[in-house]
This record gives sequence, C-alpha cells and structure tokens, in this order.
Amino acid sequence: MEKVLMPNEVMLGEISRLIEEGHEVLMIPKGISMLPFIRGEKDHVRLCKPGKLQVGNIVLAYIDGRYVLHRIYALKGDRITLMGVKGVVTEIITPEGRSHKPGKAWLWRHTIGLRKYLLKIYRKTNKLLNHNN
Amino acid sequence: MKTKKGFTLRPLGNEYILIAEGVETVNFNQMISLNESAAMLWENVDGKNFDTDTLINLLVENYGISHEQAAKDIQPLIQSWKKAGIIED
Repeated sequence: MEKVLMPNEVMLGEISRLIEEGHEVLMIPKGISMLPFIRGEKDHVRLCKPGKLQVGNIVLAYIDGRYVLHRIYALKGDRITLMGVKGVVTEIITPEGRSHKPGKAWLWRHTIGLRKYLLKIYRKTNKLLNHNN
Repeated sequence: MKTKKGFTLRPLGNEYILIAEGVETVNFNQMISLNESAAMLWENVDGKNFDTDTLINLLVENYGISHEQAAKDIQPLIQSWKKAGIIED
C-alpha cells in the first residue's frame, strides 16, 4: 500500500468535514502532545462528532489557524476554544489491535509540575523496552 | 468493467480520495487516493460500463498523449483499481 503524505491542515480539515457530516473517522495522529496516552504515528484514534463536552475529553480542535489533538482542561467561560472543537476521541487502538476508551486522566491533569519528569521516565522506559524487543 | 457503487470522489489537497458512502467509519489509514488524471477518468466512467479503450481514449483526449503511451499508462491503473476493489468486471 502506498503512503500518501498530506499537509496536516488539508487532511485534518477533510476529517473535520467528514465528522461534521456524521461519519466516524479512524486515523493515526502525529506528534508527541498526547503522550503517554496516544503515541504519535503508532496508535489509531477513532473520532466522532462531539456531543456534550467534558473536562478530560481528548478533542480534535481548530485553534489559531491550526488543528490540534488535545485534552480539555477547563470548560468554564471558554466558549471560543470550544467552538473550535471538530471531533472527540472515543477509542484508542494500539498497533497490536488492543482497543480502549480514553479515560479522563484525572490524576494526569493534576500533575502539571511533575509531568516533565513523568514523561522523561516514560520515554526512557519505552526506549529500553523497544531496545529489548 | 464497471465502477462499484457507493463511492464519492472528493478533493484532498493535490489529490482526490474515494469515500465509501453509507460506511459509518471512514478509515484514513486505508484511504483510496487518486491523482488528478485518475480522478478525471473515474468521474467520466463512474456508474457506466467501460472498457480499457474507453479509458485510453479519455487519456488521449484530455492530455493529448499518444495512444501507445495511454495504453501503457492505463494497465497499471486498472490493476490498482481492481486490487483496491473499486471496479468489477
């Protein structure tokens, strides 16, 4: 199968339109912003039309002229940010086919100060595990 | 040959993609993408009976290339469409 590379804005724009039309979309996101929950260019995510959004949801949003996959940290009074939400992640599927529903990451959301250390440990462990495989 | 029913051609950047209508989940990891000339051919034969010559003639008419060149280009395209399951005999 041939891999077609598309600019993020083009591909995610089309994905947003498809979600808006009522489709669910499976895609492999790029980047490290959702680590350790979603591993860029590895895990698949299922996106669907957002209903009532909650803190902790992972969403595809169009903010400041670009598309991002992020977790909602606060909702109060932040209407502009929410208007940019195009889809919500309802399932994460690993390359091995294991599937799970994304949690709200309560603990993770309350460890902002510690996060860089936790991510460092995560990356080191991952590197070791990959090296051993 | 005939195109399979239920596909919609949509532009995506410099390419085109075929979206299966009525399918709830669109899998962006296994998308059928067509370049500009393949998309032109698809649009012209979608929903109709066609053969290799139909496609060759379309290429000759639209791109001004020789019949020989068009015949050479069309074979791999038909194979890839068959492999992708978007046309049937």
